[in-house]
Amino acid sequence: MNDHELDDQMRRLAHSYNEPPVPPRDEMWAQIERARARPAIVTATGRRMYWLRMGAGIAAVLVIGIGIGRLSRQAGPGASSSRIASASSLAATDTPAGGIAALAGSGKEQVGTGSQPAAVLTGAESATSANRVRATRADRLDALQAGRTASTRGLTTYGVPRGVQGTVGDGSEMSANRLAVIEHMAHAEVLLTSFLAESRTSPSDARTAAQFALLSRDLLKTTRLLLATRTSDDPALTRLLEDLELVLMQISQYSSEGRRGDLDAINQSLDRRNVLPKLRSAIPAGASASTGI
Amino acid sequence: MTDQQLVARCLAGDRSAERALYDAHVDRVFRLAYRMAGDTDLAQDFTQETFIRAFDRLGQYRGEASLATWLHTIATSVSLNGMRSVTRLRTRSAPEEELVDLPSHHVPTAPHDLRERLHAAIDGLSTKLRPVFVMHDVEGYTHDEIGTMLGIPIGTSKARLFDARAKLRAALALFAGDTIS
Repeated sequence: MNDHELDDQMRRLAHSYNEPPVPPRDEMWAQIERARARPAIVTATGRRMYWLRMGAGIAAVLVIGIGIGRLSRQAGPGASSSRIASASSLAATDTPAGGIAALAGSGKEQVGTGSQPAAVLTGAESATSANRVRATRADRLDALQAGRTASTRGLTTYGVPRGVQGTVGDGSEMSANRLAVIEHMAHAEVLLTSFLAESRTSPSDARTAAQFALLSRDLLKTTRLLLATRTSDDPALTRLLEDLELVLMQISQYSSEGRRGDLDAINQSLDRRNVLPKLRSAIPAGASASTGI
Repeated sequence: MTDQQLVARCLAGDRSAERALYDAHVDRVFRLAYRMAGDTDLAQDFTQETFIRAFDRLGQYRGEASLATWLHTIATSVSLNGMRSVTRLRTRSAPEEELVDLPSHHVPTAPHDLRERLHAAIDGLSTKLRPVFVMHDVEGYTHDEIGTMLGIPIGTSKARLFDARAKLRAALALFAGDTIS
């Protein structure tokens, strides 16, 4: 048999390949009708399942994203600052711990706290603030206790390792402590500049003097706290904070009825110790703009 | 009544038009499904699935091809996908010792005649060659129609048919020679 004959034979025999029987038309139509009577339910269920699956997928992505975000925040350098903000946001800022926490937190967290110098509290507000202080005293004690526990593990009060340099403006990694120092300096710089401008241009009234006194007292507490913590590891920073402490103490004791000599003493301290230029050089660009004073 | 008119009536919810559409095409669809499956139950399932899908998607029919071609495209897709699933199922359910003994092609070891040998050889064609051979040489579709139904260029359809015939010829040559001698 040659190829042609084989091809012919193949084509002829191929027609018998899987030779179909007579199709059961009515039986199949009945099945089709039955199946088509269901599709509305099936489709609706399918659509619901689709959206359920989509929703579950989106939720899973969100959960994973939030989880990764939280983990990375805990692991990263911002972790300590967020801990400070959350732990001490409960605490009022009439204590050094509260003050530094407010400084380390966002600008919004500082509103209504003792570190907000322009806001002179009314009687009612003061009462509310006092209540908040009483209500959160236990929390603050807990926070301080937690800080002491952290210290025993080789950490500072706010979870910053002692080995990390706290020099200001050196371009190293921003720690919570350093952030607090910078913000504190920015506040102090604005206060001192305002005080100097006020004292040189116009005679100060009682209200302004009270505001400056209140503000400087708050800053004084924070300064002392910073001096008592790891910032003392840096001699230059310690000297600057000591100078600042002196000046702030003088301002807090100064009143409009005070002698002219008190004001001269403050100006003298500022000039001799170069407090303002030192503060300005220690504050990185842009930090003072975010202080909100 | 043209395809478009029939489709329009079906879309309007006319049950008699749906039945008319079914009656007009069911034989050819069933034949194609049976040729692919070689089993009545499977062919029925594929045919029913084809019409269920067709009625669901009738709104998507644009009239670019004939209604028959459009239906046969669905039938081909349903049948080939169905056969893949069946093959997978059969392979999984077969005991391991049987699988070891299975030849790569389902060619009977001792065919009784040329017809049986040819059918076995067609069964043994690959999933790309077999549909083209069945549709062209068995069912009589043109390469144009096959290209549309399988979503392949006409040249590819021709090449696959050429390959399929060559393989079948090779499979039958020895047996045919023996028969003649």
